[in-house]
Amino acid sequence: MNCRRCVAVFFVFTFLLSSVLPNVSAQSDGNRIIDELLIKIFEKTVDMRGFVPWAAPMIRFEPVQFTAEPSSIDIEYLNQTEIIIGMPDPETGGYKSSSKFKPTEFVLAKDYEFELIVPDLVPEGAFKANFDPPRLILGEEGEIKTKLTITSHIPRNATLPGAFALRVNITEYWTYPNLYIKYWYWAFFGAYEILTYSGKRVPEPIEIFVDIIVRVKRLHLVEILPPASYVEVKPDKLISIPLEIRNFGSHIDTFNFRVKVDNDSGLLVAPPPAMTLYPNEVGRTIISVATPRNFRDPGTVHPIHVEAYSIYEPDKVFGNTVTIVTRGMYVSDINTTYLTLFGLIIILVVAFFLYRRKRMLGKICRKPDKPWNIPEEKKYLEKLKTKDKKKYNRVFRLMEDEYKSSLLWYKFYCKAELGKVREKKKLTDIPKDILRGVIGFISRFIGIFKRPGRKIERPRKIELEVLRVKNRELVDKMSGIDKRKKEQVILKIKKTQEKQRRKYMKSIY
Amino acid sequence: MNGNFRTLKSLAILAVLLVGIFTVFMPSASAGILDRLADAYTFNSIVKIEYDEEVAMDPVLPLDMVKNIPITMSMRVTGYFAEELLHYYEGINLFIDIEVNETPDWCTASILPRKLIIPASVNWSTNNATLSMAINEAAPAFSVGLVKVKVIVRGFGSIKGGEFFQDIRFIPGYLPVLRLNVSESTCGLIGPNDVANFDIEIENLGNAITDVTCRVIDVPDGWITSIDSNITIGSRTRTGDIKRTLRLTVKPPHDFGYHEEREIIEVSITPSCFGNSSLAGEEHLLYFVVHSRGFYTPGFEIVFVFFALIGVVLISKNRQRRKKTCEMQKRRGDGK
Repeated sequence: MNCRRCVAVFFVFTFLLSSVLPNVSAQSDGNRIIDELLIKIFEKTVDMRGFVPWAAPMIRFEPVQFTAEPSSIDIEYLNQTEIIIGMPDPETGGYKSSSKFKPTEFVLAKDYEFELIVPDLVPEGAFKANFDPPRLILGEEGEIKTKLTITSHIPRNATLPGAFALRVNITEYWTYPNLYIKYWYWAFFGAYEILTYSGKRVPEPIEIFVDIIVRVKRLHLVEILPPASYVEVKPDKLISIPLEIRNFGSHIDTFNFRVKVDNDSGLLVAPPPAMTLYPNEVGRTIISVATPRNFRDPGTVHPIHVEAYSIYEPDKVFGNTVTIVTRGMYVSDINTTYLTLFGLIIILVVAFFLYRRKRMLGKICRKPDKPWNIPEEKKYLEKLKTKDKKKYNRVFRLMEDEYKSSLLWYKFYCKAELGKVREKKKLTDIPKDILRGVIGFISRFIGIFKRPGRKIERPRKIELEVLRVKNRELVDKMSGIDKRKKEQVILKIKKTQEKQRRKYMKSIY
Repeated sequence: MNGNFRTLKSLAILAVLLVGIFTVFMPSASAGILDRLADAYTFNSIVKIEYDEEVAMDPVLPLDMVKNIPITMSMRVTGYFAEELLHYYEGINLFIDIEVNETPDWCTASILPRKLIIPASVNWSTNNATLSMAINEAAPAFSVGLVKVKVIVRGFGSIKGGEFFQDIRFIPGYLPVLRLNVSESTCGLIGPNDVANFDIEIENLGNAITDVTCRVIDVPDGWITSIDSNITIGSRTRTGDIKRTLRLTVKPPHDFGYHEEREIIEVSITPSCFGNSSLAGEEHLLYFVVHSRGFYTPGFEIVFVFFALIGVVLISKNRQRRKKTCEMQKRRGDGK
């Protein structure tokens, strides 16, 4: 009977359970018996560490957390940056106190060591780290923090990426007491290894690190390398002087240039064009100079101060000096041209006057012929030359003297005649005369262009007749010359001839 | 004795049945009864990673800027009995590790603090972190960059841990960099009727297609200059030819007469982002010295030269004719 009752109760219980178990519904409303049962079970078993999976773990270590303040830094060449690495305290907003740590039976002491890890792409020795203090021992007075000072010694030829991350590795050390005395039984639970830490300072296998973003601050540094020695240039020349530009800065940089020269120097200088260079790149450029137009430059030194500045920081200027020496003579092309033209005009004028004078003289008197060129005399001289050399010489000398005296006469005569003509002509007539001459010259020139058909040709006979009449007039004029002056001239000539004869006779005897 | 035995037997059967019923009807199907019970007591942690999109989408300037994006970590715990059972853990805190999982090649990023503590709750609890990032010149301007943030929640008791990821989107800014090359000299000696040509090669080292604006500053009086005022150059990060050549043409004054003039011609070249001229770079300056020397004639002087030559020829011919006439007259005179 009892058995039957039990079976009946079991079935009823089973049906009841099946209606209230939580697998049917997604959520529990908390009022069901099974829920209450499960909650009760949880409540009673939650502390059964090691026996139920939902129990809280026996040992739980709070994660060690370090932060960096600031978390991102700007680094410049040859500067120092300070960063605080510490364990933040969310309650105070500051850093956790070191003195809060109390040694336990298991851990005697805790301390932290720091190390700066520089990425491979940064050259070795570019950053030097100093931690102050280098080791943080818990339990001492103060906050759990250290000051990291990064000193940058970036080599000149090194190239850094624009941004990278520096990592500060933090190692936590635990110093254990003598574990063998208190925890000897651990060896039976297979935790023998822990006992080997007894009395040792052991690094914890937890990875603790802080990444600091580093932005390499733009450093603008450029070196201008002028030619080794000064450049010598002649005046009024256009030259290009080569320059070398080296970017010692941290980033790819663009430089604009300007020049400073003495305003009175007369130099015209074009600065080098803008230049973009990668870090440590050397670029070649030119500076164009137009030298001053000094007539005579014995050697003037002109310093040209070349300045370069980054387009991103125009206030930071880098400079160097290029020296040029101007030496030499300069004659302006335009002056040369005008002088040549002036000279040509003068030559033409002189030639014109000489030609005119020659023509006038030709009208007045004919220049005496050389006697040894007169055919009869020439034949006679040739004969003498073959027969009697001495006589030939004597006769030739006589001829020469005769020719000289006749030339003298000719000169005196022409001078006298020209003087008369000048006296007769008024001063006002001279320009008219020149004008007439010029007009005549032009009309002659124009006459060339006249067509022969249209030209009214005068009868040649009449022309010749006119010429003859003109000649006769000229002869008449000549005959009308003052006889007194003529006689004077003849007398002078005769005197000189006499003197020469005497000289000659003396030389013979 | 028999009665006791029976009672024990029935209790044992009852216990087996109860256990069987529990095993069958527990919320998840796993092997053991304790596991099944544990599953009933399982709590899942849910993490929500949010970031300031406005800050993130504000373009980051390459090389010159470190961007800090605030990140908010929100977390809650869910489960069948989460609300009822969570308080039995006596207000425990959950530990969260955060790390940067993926970045583009041209981006450096880190997150701080790397560990967060959030109290376990069925309601959303939050804590903050900051993602710092910097990008270099290889970042294509105005493209979308992705930084993947990974969050690892450490489990505690019945609270399950897990890994969560979030993509943080950002936009690289525009970096204008031009490299100018003046292939030949920057000075030129020309005649007043000639023109001086200077070729300027422009290479775009920036991270976007670039418009280049060129102008000649303070053209000297009487001089004429010409240069392409606007050209577009492709970028390494995008498509197109990254080099273009410009030609500066300088014509000196050409009034009649002799010229001896020299001047400095200053050219300004300014890059700006293609399609957005407000994003302009700095001015690049170039200088050229042009020396004009010589005599300028309008060109019709050649006509005068031609006439002069004709004149000379005619004069010489006329003279020859006269000479001949004189000789003929002389002969006639001799004949008489």
